[in-house]
Amino acid sequence: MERVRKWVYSLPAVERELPIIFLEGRYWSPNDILSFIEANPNHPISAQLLRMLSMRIAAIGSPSITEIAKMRLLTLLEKHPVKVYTLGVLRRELSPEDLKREIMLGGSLGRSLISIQERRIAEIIGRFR
Amino acid sequence: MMPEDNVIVLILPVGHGLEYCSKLLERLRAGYLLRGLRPIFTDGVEGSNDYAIEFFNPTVVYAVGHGECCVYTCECMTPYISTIGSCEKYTCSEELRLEFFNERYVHLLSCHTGKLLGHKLIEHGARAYVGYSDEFIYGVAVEGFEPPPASPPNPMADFYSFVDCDMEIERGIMNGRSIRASVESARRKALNYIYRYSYGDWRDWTIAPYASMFLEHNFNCLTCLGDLDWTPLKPKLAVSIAPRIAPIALGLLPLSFELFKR
Repeated sequence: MERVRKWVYSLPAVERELPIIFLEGRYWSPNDILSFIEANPNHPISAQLLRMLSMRIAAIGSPSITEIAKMRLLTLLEKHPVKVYTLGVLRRELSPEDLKREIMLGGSLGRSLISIQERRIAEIIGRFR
Repeated sequence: MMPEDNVIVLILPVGHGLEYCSKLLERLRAGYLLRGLRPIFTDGVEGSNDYAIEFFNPTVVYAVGHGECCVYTCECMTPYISTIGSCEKYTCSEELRLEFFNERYVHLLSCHTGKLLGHKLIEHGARAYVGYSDEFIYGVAVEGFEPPPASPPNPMADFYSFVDCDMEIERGIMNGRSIRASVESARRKALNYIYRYSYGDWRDWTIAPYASMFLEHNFNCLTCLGDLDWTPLKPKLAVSIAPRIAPIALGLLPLSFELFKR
């Protein structure tokens, strides 16, 4: 449990709230993982979460890591909405709704952000020692 | 006629949010002058740009503006350089000033021009091109928060680091480096910012996950074409630059960033 706590506190505050693993039909953020394991240390799901972290696995079967990446972006936009400014002729500002649409519909910016998040998931899970 | 050595034209429109980029680019002036170079700044209006390029015949053109795959626009979103072409949503039916950049190095700080316009500029004689093949994000802010232009990054908004990374290319070039080496130093600068936002002193800022993601996105779509080993400028006065980053273990970690920050 100490390893999980150390890992969670090593992450930036906002990252702790974002989904990182999919298990048993739900997305788990580092905070969710820590509080579940603290409350249920002997539960089989706690063991499974620890196993996934140790083996650096974000999801087994479906959904894919791409789905987790999408969910991270949508959660981030929901919890901390921002406006983005670009140097495009057609789109000069993107509201949180525009960004959500971009992610859901797979526009080029959305695809780029999803692939960056996929790498970020691997990086964050990789920090679990 | 070959371009004049050591002359740089900077096209700096301010309308439609562009003051956030242009105000930062103005800060390059002292650096150019210190090195004995000749920077010419325009207000981004079509006529001023034409005059500056025709009269001063620069080797380097560094322009801020909104863009799409086939067009770069200057002040008031006026198409300034364009080629015939279309992408998903935008169609351009005329060619504008493609020949204007013969033997010059063109750096367009705008969205999408790396997809098509940059290639056309090279085909029409530009010696090198640097730009972006997707959306260039120059600012991110918590909704309702708008900092004044050129203010440093803060927990609620960053309209600085994205443009600063792009400007790093020109800082390299003004120091007599090749385009390739300058782009590499800009990449290191971006990594430095990404580190600060991901694991460093800015990691708990509200905008941190966005800023690191958009810095990476911008760099992923940076497009460099033409003669990248060319050194466009030959500064008359060498100005040494203190190293701002040093390689450590798994990447490039910042060292005393505050001390060396420009």
